[in-house]
Amino acid sequence: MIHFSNVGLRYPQGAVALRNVSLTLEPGSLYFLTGKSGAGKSSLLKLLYFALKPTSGDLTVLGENARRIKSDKVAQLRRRIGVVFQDFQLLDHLTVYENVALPLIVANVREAQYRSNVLEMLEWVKLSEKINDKPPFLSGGEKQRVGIARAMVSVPDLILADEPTGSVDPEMGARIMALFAEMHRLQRTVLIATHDTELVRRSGAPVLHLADGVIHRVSGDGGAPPPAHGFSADDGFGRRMR
Amino acid sequence: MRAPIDAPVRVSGRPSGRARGAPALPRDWLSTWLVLLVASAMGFLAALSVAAALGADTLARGLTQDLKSRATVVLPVAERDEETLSRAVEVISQAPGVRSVRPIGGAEQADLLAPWLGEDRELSDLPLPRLIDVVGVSDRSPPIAEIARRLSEAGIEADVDAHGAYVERLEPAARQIRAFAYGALMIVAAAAGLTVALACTAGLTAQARIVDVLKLVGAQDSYISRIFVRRYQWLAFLGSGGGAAVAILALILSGGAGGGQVVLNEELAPLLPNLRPQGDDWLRFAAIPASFAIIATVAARLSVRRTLRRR
Repeated sequence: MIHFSNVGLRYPQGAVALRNVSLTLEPGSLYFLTGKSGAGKSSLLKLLYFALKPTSGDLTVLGENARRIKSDKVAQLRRRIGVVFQDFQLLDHLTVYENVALPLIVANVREAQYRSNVLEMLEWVKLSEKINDKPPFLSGGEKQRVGIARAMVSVPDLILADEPTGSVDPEMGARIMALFAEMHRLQRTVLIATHDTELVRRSGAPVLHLADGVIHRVSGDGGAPPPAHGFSADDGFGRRMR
Repeated sequence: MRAPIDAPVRVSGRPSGRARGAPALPRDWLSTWLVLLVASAMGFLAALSVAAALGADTLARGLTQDLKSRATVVLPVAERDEETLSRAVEVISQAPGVRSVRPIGGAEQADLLAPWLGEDRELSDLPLPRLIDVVGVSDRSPPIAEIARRLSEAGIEADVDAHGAYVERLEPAARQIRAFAYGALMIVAAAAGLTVALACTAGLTAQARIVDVLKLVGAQDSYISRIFVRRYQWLAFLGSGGGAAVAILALILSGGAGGGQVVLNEELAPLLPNLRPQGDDWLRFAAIPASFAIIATVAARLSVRRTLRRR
């Protein structure tokens, strides 16, 4: 699924974000990515959704070499990747419903096919009352929940989340984590970058720690779903998704 | 969807009607109005160019048909008596290829000379030649050589003036007018294409964030191109259609230049082409918005693809 082999990333201005990162994330694994601000977490995620290319080494994502991939292939692969952005990346002129449906709209999926998924995802993140609202009228936490729903609505193969619980209260944070756990159970690969040590501790999921551009595996192998990850979707969401 | 959700969904809100047909681009009033106005102006000019080209065509066709089929026989002053005139008419009538022969009377001759001699000038005391109007069969030129030969054999001294020579001079002029009009049309089309391309590039720059988000969620360049192209295609269609409609209305209200009564001197009117649309002309005018939409499509597509490739 994801394989880093001595991957380095240096920005054009000279700053080094990643040094000789070697790492394999198996399909269906769930990992946390931790590290201080500026440690390179977002850069690593950007490599994974092809917003950046490694400056050295080899990176394989969903079977494609990120250094040699062509632009038309990038669009195809991004449809298999759901990204939760720290700055939300919502379109202000679209409604909540349209923002969540966007990955399916651009993939030319007919509305009849995705409508129930979008509505259910919005229900899960408790935004059912705001489906016709537009992002400028939402709070930071609500925007983050829209971004999360958008990232997961197509049940992508790979889910990348950059501080997904940064703007939400603990109760919603737990609910969102349960959503990630359900994706993990559906054999989706999940990588969550976060500062929230409490979240990481409660989840029991394996942790990759990034410091000075170097990855340190702290715990676990991310393979089997953690038996006590601390979050559950007890209203049957996961069962329906299966 | 790889994992369909088939359980009933409990939601209190419903997506609004507009939400379902999600517009992928926000409304951008400034560029919308700019493109609309420029397309209107271009459509207006295009309609005038088409009218000029069609008018030049009509004029050339009318003049050549009319002049080509006619000749004038001029009896010099020495031969201007009525008897010679009647004999000449008879001789000419018998020539093959002649449809009609008509002596031009004094009043008609006075009308022809009025621009030079004035309206009230008495012509009877002037030594004017007598003129005979000859029309050939089937709109073809009368047999000039044969008429001249027969008149000569009948002992009538006369000059036979074939109008074909004027036609030969008029035809290139009409072709030039037509070429100028179509040239103007090409320039207008090129300007419209450039305007749309520039507007598209500006639109992409202004909406760079939207393009980025679309790409991040998996939109292909062709999808992004399509939504931009569709917008400018529609604006070009509407704008040029409106502009062309205004131009046509103006031509109709002014009576067309050929009508002349409103905008031009009445005496010049018959010499000017009639620019008022008629018959099949409407189809050519109707093609203006469609052509502009096609031009906008090509220009926008090229511009968007080039811009996206650079990103």
